[in-house]
This record gives sequence, structure tokens and C-alpha cells, in this order.
Amino acid sequence: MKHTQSCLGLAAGLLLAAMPAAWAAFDVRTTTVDWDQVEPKKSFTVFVEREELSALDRISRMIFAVQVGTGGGKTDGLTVHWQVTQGATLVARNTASLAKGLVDVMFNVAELKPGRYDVKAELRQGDKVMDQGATFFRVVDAKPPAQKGRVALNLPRGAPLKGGAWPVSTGVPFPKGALGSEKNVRVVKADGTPVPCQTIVRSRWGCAPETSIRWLGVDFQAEGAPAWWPERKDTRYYLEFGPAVAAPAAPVKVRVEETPDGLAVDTGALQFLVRRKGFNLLDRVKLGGRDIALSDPRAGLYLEDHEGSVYRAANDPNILLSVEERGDLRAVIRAEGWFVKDGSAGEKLNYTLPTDKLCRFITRIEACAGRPWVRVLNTWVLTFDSHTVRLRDVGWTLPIEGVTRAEFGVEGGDPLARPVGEKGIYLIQHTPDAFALEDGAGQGLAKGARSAGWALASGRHAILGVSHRETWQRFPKEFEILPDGLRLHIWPAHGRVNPEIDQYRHEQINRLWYAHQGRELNLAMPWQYFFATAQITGNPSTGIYSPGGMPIGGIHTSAMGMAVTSDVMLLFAEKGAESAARDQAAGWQVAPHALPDTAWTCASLAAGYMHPYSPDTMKAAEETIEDAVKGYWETQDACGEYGMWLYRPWHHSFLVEAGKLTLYRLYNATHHYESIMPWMLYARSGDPFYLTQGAANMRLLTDVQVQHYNDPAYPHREFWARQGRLVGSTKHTNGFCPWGGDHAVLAHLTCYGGMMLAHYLTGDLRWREVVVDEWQKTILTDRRNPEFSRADRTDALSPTGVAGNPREGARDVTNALGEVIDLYQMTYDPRVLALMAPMMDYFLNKFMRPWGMPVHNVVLFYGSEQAKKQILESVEERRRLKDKAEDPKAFWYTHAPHENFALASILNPAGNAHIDAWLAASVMQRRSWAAQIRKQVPHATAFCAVPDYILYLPRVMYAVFQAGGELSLSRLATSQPLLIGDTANAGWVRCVLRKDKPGALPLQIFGTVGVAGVKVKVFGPDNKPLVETTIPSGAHAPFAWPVPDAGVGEYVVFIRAGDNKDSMYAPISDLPEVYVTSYWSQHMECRYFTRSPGEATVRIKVQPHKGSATVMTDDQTVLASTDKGDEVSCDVGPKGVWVLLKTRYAHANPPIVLSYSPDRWFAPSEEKLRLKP
Amino acid sequence: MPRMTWCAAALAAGILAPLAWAAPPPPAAKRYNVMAGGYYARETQDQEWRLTLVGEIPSLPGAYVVVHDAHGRLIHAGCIPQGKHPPEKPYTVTIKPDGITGDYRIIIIGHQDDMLGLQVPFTDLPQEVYGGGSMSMGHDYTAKPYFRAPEGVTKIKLGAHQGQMQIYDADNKLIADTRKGGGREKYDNTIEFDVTPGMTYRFERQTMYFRSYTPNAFFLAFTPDRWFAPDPKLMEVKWWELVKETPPADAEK
Repeated sequence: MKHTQSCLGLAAGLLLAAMPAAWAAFDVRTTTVDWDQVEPKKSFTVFVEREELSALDRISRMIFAVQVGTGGGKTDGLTVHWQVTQGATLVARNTASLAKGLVDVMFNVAELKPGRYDVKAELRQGDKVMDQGATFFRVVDAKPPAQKGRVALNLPRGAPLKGGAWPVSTGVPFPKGALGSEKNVRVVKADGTPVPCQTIVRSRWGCAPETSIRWLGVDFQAEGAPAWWPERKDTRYYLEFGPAVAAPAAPVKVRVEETPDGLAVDTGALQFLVRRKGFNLLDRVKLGGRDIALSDPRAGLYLEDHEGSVYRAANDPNILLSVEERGDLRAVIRAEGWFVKDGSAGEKLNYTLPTDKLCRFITRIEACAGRPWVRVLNTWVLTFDSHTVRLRDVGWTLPIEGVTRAEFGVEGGDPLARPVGEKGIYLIQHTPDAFALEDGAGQGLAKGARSAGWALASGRHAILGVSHRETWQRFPKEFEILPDGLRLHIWPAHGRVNPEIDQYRHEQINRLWYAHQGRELNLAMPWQYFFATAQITGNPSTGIYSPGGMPIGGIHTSAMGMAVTSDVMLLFAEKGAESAARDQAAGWQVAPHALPDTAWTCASLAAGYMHPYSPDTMKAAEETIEDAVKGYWETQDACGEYGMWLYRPWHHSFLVEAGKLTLYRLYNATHHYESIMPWMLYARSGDPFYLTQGAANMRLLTDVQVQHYNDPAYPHREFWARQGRLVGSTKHTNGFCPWGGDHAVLAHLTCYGGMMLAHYLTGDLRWREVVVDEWQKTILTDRRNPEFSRADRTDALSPTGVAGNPREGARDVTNALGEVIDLYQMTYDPRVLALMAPMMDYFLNKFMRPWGMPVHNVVLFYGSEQAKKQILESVEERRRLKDKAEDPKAFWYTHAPHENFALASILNPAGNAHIDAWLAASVMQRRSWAAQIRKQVPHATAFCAVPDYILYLPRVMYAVFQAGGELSLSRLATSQPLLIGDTANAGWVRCVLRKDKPGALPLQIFGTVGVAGVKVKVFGPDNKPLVETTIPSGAHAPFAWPVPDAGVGEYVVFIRAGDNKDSMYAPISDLPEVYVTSYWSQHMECRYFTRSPGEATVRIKVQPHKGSATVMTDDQTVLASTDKGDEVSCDVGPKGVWVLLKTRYAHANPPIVLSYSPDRWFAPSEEKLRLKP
Repeated sequence: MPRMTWCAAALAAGILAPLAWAAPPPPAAKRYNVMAGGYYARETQDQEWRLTLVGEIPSLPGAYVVVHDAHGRLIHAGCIPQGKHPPEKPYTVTIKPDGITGDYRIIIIGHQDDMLGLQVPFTDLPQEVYGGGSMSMGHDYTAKPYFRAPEGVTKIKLGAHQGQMQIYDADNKLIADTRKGGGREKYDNTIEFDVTPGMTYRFERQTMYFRSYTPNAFFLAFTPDRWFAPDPKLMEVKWWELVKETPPADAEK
């Protein structure tokens, strides 16, 4: 397929005819779109969003995009003339202006007959044809899915309130074509009683509102329920959908109204104002219509710099205030602006002091119908030079009058309640395992281990509470209660150093104490981190591939552009209702979530090909997943990875000792596509552990490891690659701290797909914002930025390619392709297709190197026949030649060969590639690997190997079940390397054939023979020599030599080939054929079958020389294995076993009888074993 | 900063004082940008001397300097602040007399832009050489330093990264040239040539980066009189293990 620019001279012009009415039906909507002219070389792109379409898609789209190139003039006057044909029939044609750079044509698929459609286009300037392009798409038949149904909505963590309802959100996927409108759903209890719900479309299967829904956001309020996990039986709610389905009205609705002062919100229980000027979080708060909180213009978000200047959100006169989501049950108000210094004009912006504006905020206030509380999801973005600016305090001030009593939640214990004196009282969680309760004078009142994350202030008229999720995990944090209000300190005002901790010891150095303790927040990494690393590792090198190079990167990094998002409940209760307030505050910490039935999710394909959690039928695989992933997390627990800047990243390297990690590439953002892993595992299982893990990681990734801000005047450059900042760009792994080192927007090291899946499942708007308003915005509209080219690693797309190894650089393009395919399905911005087109061309015609999800996304979303063909052919070649396959497309240059086989099986279940996939997945060997990770055995794994394997195992499981579940190796008929060089027989290997019918015996060998040739001697059933020949030097496909008919019986073929000289393949005939040998070599890994001659078992013993050997049954149950060259032995009966060898040399004692497949095996007669060549 | 011990008796007697000034002061040297694994200086008489860093450190966290002697004593460690350090106001660290003479190694840790932002000489000691690791003198091709072969070294192998280099003897005779009969090691054009210990050689290059493949044999000076062969014991010192404390300037962190 060629979808992009082609040279002039394409034959046959466009037909000239009047446009029939059918064409108007084809062309639904044509839009011209601004497309920045930034590329140095000119190009003309013709691209359809998918190659494979069906009536289920309803509407699709093609784009025509131009880049005029450097010196290429303007786009004014450029037009595109396109036509679509099916065979010789003209389907539609039209003309559009390309003055803006891109034309988007949406077309109607539903009316198109199945078949191939060709798209041709000319780029013209006036009448002159400047360029031409062509592409095609195929329309196939597709069976529509059920148009109505019922999906279980489970509560993996339960719902916390026993006597009330708790708002929960979920994301429900639908198969393509199942659901058209978000109005045709409702939520019901298990007994069928409808409950109010609110829906929003998060993603569709197509580019137009007419296309069906892919992910639907659903909100409802759940009554108290126990956790659905781990029993997975107690389903309390269902989602019903169908053309006749509608949700009931909510009896209590949340209302948001525009007023001159801002947005007035009424949940029914709580009323408040979100001010447009003087944004102070919640203003004029009323509980049940009664004023309870002061209107304080100095309240709300604030921070204090190291010189003592205070900056407030309320001082910004120009905040952006909007309603981001609105419905009967839940409304989200978004406010964005600057922290502006008290007493300043608010105009001066500097990356260091003095400045009027210091840091930005993006605050989301979620109000739910009937609730006396709101969720505040607040993101604070750092805009300063962290080498010269420090902060003394970052917090929220919430006013409440006449506070006399404070209560602080304690995890695993009773709350601490104290009176509030003039100077107030505070609880500071200063390490993950220690908090201090002190009065305003600093006098210690109590100590404890872990705050439960909430505090209540009992005021004159009401109770004000704050509940902050994961407080001790994100230490240091402080809750301060004063006579006139409550303060939540995101960075404590009463911070301290923990002198008992030596931050430079190996078991502490990863915890980045410099950023997590002290009176001031100081994000400048001390130089001592380099020396400590050099001392611990004994290596002072500062190179990028050395341990010392990591803290050098961290010392030089800047925290500008990082963020911290806090997930907080602000609650209000009547005076005296402390118990209810406590329940609400504690309930918030549960973070309940609703998850659709996992089998439904997997069947929808909205999250891709993966099999639902199946502990009964796939026990070993599920245990492997659980041990590897939970073991990873538990290792991080043991290594103390807590903290507001550290909860919780991924790693690259090893655990070296208990509590000590390798310091080389200590932290990694997501460069092995890790961040999607817990979300996939959560969606397919419902295990809330993965939600905890996924949310912790996603918050850190999208806050700390993606850049959100840059000051063009800021001269700072990172140590590695001398990069500045680029909004939306993801960090890599070379900075010691999670935010240090290099970064990229289009490269192998991103996982925006993970952010998208996390948003689909939870509705978290910050995660969507990072993808769409930061990353997408940058890659579509900020490409002129000099930082863009430094963050775009798809150099391989350029005509000159990439220096060094192009196969290595391919992963940057292919991962980027997988990412933009996912992005397109979130936003359907046509400009994304202009980016996708050259990547797709590269993928199909140059390298298909798997990294992330490109192969999967091309297969599932784009539907390329060329990709399918290349995958299947590549698998066939791999089966034959193993790692000697040429692999021109770098398809096997992957950490996850099991995924390759799985996709081949999904494309062609009859091809048995699911068996190869299962074999490549080596589940039993991986079981012990995962168990070692769970036990935190040092050096059990490089952590980046966990996603490499785990991400794709559910896909293997999907392939296995889709193909019927049988894993018999007998079904894999693939050639094997010929065994040669039996030293017990002077280098001759003994092959015995059994001919049961008269006739000639045609023998043939495939492979390559060295200069000396290969001698072959054939003996007949009477043991007399029949043929002696030499296979000549060269490549043979095949070399055949007929053997005269010497009757029925056993023939012996002796072959003497040279180790390292000759590479040939078995079988050499189509008869029962066995090899009898005690010492041999093979030129690549192999798989042979053996069995006992009769019913009685025999003992086999095989030893690979410095390699691995596995003995397994036909259904891949491992009986014995080694990867250290040890001898493996087991008893073998008539059903036989497979012997898999990854070694050059092996020996068997006693000699072993091996065949290419069970049906070829037989026990040769004794005399044939005594025959000498 | 570690404190140096004073040799009070010697100073009190004033014996050393006149001797300290007996040797002529080093010529006011032209300054060059040099990046090297080590910068070496020799103190032949116990004296107060200065680490004087001129140039510009562009990186915001600054660069770091470590000075030690052949006995593994840390003489100085600290951060060179970001910014311009002009000749009239260099970044200076004064090293007090301590009764010990010998060779020192100065190590600069930081980005290449910082290392090449500084200009040698780094000390006011009469002898100073530069060598080790991947070296560079930026794009100043007028810099044509000298070197001699240390005792026991009869062959030296050098590499020019994606560029060329030439070696001349004291008579200005070309004795080695990567363009003629040189070899190749990955990205380096290499030359291996015979040297006579004690003889002076001159080095010219058309390359940004170069290195020696012969360990502890290639040290450059910009005038022959400043050349010396650093004490081999310096190379055995694990300098990174000497810095145990956070210097006061960093202590706020």
C-alpha cells in the first residue's frame, strides 16, 4: 500500500463527468483544517484513517495534507482533486482548497458494497499538477453485535457508606456497532430497580458523532456494599443498554449556574460559589441553605517562597473558569490560573525571584448530587528555576469560624482529638511511618505511624473536614487547624529534617530525601548524590551508560514544568455530626470504583485483544502475572519508595540486595510501556490492587514525569541531550530522580496509551488533559519549537534515516505509531492522521519492530492486509529458521516474541501460531521467575523485563482460547535443524527411515552446505549399501537424491556434516524418520520428539552443553528443565515427550531416538543401531 | 572544606619563604580550554598556592572540583558556581602550605560545556599538565600543546574521534599522522608511534575529541617547561571516595 506522496507521472487523469447523487451521499463532510507548514521537505499525503472498514464504522475519513517544504512558498492556491473508484466504477470525486494545509473528507461507509476502493488525488496549483498520491481501503462484511444487553458493574473495593450512597464513576466499553447514543443506557440494582445515572462519551469507534460508542463514562451513586474482589460473586449493579432503554431522572440534581461573580453550585445538600475573581476554592458556603463558612478573599490555594513572599490563586484576576462536565449527578468546574504575589501588580513573570507570578494551578471541583462534600483535584505546576528558588509552604486555606476542636484520623487506630488553642494545632506526616501532632508553638502532643489522611475542624456553626488520599504514601503532608480555619499543607509549613536518616546510604539514596524533608522544599539535588553513587558502585564514570551518569543528570535537571496533583475531599457537616463526618472522610480514602464485567470488557476489544482473568483454566499464567507484578510493587514497598515526588515510578534495572536497587537507570518513566500494564490487568481482572498500582503510577507519571510548563527565557538545559522543556513531553530514565534526564514526545519511551486507558476506566480529567491539551497540542501545533526536534526521535522517518543501527532506531517510530493510533481514537483530530501516515508507511514497508503496541494497534485498528501478510510470513519463516531467519522488517527484534505469535494466531487461528505463542511464553519457566520476584530475590529480574513479558501474556491467552485452547506441540509441524556430528559414530549421524510400501525412496535436504560438502550413505533393509553421495557446497532448496527401491523395511541414512560448516534441516523424507544419537550438535535451537518403544517407561537423560533444555509433554507441561547446562532426566512413556534444546551441543546417555513429530517416531530394530557407516 | 595543616616551624624559620620565590614565576600563560580526565600540578616546594578557575560555567548547578594528592589526601572539594569567572575575578581556592610537596590531581565534574568553559592553567604552580579520559580543546586549533614520554614509555597510541591528528618531534619533524598509515578503533582514527623518554613532542589535531590508548602516558602542557610526568600513584587514588561530606555550600539541601 502506498498512501503518501508519489512521483509525477501517474497514468490516467480523472474522469470528467457530472457528480451523481450517490457521490453526495458518499461525501458526508469536507472540512479544511489548519496544518502547520514546518517540514523542510515537501510532501503530499493521501491517507484513509483505516484500511479495513465495514458498515459498523458508518462514517470514515480520508485526509489530504501538504507540506510545501523549505522555500516552497505558500499554500494559497493549492487544491486537491480526488476520486474514489471501485474497480472501473467511479464512486465519488471532488475538489477542495488546500490553502490551510489539510483537507478532511468524511465519507459514508454504510452504503458501500464490500470490496477494494482506490483513492487517487492530485495536488494542483491552478491547472498545474504539482504532485499525486494514491491509497486504498477495503470494505468488508461485519456482523453487527447485539444491540441490547446487560453488563455487570462490580465494585472491587466496595462502597464505603453503610447507610447511604456513594458516587462512583466507571468507564464501560462497547463493541463496535453496539451502542449509538449515551442516552440509551441505564443502571439498575441487582434486583432490577433503576437508579439514576449520568453518562458521557469518552471515545467512539469512529470520527463522527454518528459512529458507535467505544468507551462510555458512567456515574451513579452506589449504596454501601462489600468489596466484590476477591470472591468476584457479589454484583450489586448492572448497566443495561438498548434502543428502548433510558435512565430515570435523578430525584436530587446538582445545579451549576453562571452568576456575575462566578459559578454558583447547589448539590442539594451544599451550596457554594466558585469565584471568577478572587478564586478561593469555595466561597459563600452554605450547608442546607445555612451560611457556614466565611467568605475570605485570602482563602484558597497559596504558596510561600523562601524569602517569605506569599502568592495566592485568589490574587489572579484573570483565571479561566469553566464547567468541564455537567450532568444531573455530577458537575466538574475547572479553574486555571497563576499564584500571584500579595501586594504585587501581578504582571512580572520571572523564573527566579523576584517575580509576581510563581506557579500555576489547575483546579477541578467536582460536586455530586445530594452530597455535602466536593472533590477537589488540584494540580499545582512548578514554573520556577529549582536551582535558585525554594518554597516554605504550599497549601490550601479553608476558612471556618470559631474552631474549638480538631480531630485527626489515624490509620489502624482511634482518631486524635484535641482542643484548638490560639495558635492552632497540626499533624505532620514527616516520613511514611512517622507523624507528629504538635501545637502551634511546636510543643509535641502525640506521635504515631500513619495518618489516615483526614482532619476535621469543629467550628461554631459547622464541621469542616478535609480528606487527602494517600497521605503517608505522599509524605510530607500537614493538616493544620486554626481557630479560624483549616489548612492542608501540600508542602508542610512545619517541615523538618529527619537526622537519623543518612540519605547517602545505598538503602536510602533512592528515596531522594533531599526533596522530601527540610524546612523548605528544595528540589536541587546535592552533588553528594553523585559521590555517594560512585562510592556505592565503585564507579566514578559520568557517562550516560554508567551509574554515576544518572545523578549527574539529576543534579543538572530542573523541576520547572513538574506538577503535583492532590486528590482531596472537602466536606461539611452539621455541628455535632462528627461521626458522620468521620465516616465520609474515611470513606473517601477507600476511593471506590465501579468496573464493568471483565469478560465483557475483553470481548468488546475496546482495550485490545486480551483474555479475561482466568485462574481456573490458566492458573500458572495468572499466578505468574500476579507474582511478577505484585512482587514488583512489594519490592518498591521494601525499598521505601514513598514520597510526593516518588509514589510511584517504574524501574529499569535490578534489586541488588534487600532494600537496595541498582543505581544505574534507577528510575524509569515508562520506557518499556509499563504504565499501561496495571490498567490492562485491572480491566481484565477487577483486582483492586492493580487500580491502586495504576493510579499511583499514573499520577506520578502525569505529574512529575511529563512536562507541563516552560519559560522560553529560562536558559537551563538538561545534562543529557541538552534539552530544555517541551510541554507534554515524557521523561526517560537517565536522571536518577523521576523527573531528571532526557525526554521525548515521539519515541520508544512514551506510554500515552496508558494515560488514555486510565482515563477511559476512571474518567480522571487530568489524565485526559495531559494527553490532549499537552501532548496532542504539542505534536500538532508546536512543531516549530526548537525543542520539538530534540524531543522527536522519529528521525528514521527522514530520508537520511538515523545514524548507526537503523533497526535500533525503528522502535522510536513504531512505538510512536502505536501511540498516535490510540490518540486518534480518543480525539479523532484529522491532523493526527497526517502524522500517522508516514509512520504507517515506515511500519509496513521498512521496519515493524515491536515496541509498545504498534503491531497490535495496526492489526486491530487499521486492519492492514499487508501487515497481516507480513506477520504470517514472518512467523512461518521464524518457525523454519528460528533465530537464523533474515527478519528484514525487524519483526523479531523484540522483547516479546510471544506477542508476535499471538497476533499471528489471532489473524489466522487455523495456523496454530497460538501453540508457538504459548511455547514462546514459556509459562512454567516464567512461573519460577515470577515467584523469585515475589520473594524479592536479588537479581531475579531486570524490572524492565516485567512489562516486556506481562503486557503481552493476556494476548497470548486470548489467542489460545480463540484457537480452541489446544496447545499440542504435535500440531506444530515445523522443520528442525538437522542433528549432526555424532562423535560416537565418527561424526556420522544415524537416521533410520521406515518404508512400508514398495516404491522409490526420494530423499531431500534443505539448507546450506559448506565447501567440503556433506557425505551421505544409504543402506537398505538388508543392510547393504544402496547409495553413496556427497551433497555439494551451496544453498539447497532442496538437494534431492533418489534411492532405488530396496523393498519395504528400515533404511539407514548416515550423514556426516561439519559443525559450524553445514546448516541443514530435518525431515529429509516424508516417511517415519528417527535420529538415533548420543552426542550431537545443531546449528540452532530445536524441538524433537521421543517416546518409549512400548508401554513400559524408559528413562531419558539429556545434557545441553552450557545451554538450556526442557522436556515437556505434548500439551506443554514441563517435566524437567535446565538453563545452566545441567543434565535433565525423566521417565518417558508411550505418549512421549518433546525435548527442546537451546544449545549447540548436547548428549544423551543412553542414546536417544528422536523424531520430527510423534507420528514419525518409531523404534528402529537393534541391527539398524549396530550398522556402521 | 578540609583544613590543611600548617608547617608552622618551617614558616617561622622563614627557611622556605625565600626558597619559595627562588624559582622564576611561571610565564603569564595564554589560557586554553581543555577538557581532560585529570589536570595535574606539581608543587616542588611547600607553599601557598591557588586553584584559580577562569572561564564560564553555564550549567545552573555549577560544576564540581576535587583536588587530591598522591597520598589520597583530599585537598579541596566544592562546587564551582554557575556564571562567569573572568580573569580579573576568578573563582579562587587558596591552598595553604602543609609541609608536604608533591603532585596533585584536579578533577572537574560536570557537563562538557562547563569543562570546556574553563580555561587552563588552573593553578599558579609552575608545572601543570592535562591528560586522561576523552580529551578536548574545543575548536581552538591554534592550541598546539607539547608532551613528553614518561619514564619507561616507548610507544604511545592515540585516537582522534572522527578527525585527524599529527605528532611532531622537537625538530618539527612529522613522526606520526592519522592520515598516513593510521589505524581505526570504532570512531577513532589512531596512530601508534615510538617515543623516547624525555624528548619533547608537539601535538596538532583536526578533531574535537581525542584520547590516549596508552594509559598514564599522554600528558599535555602548553609550554615545554611546564611539563612533568605526574606521580603514577595519583591514578590509583579513588578520588570519588574522598568526598564524604556535603560541603557547607551544599549543606542547605
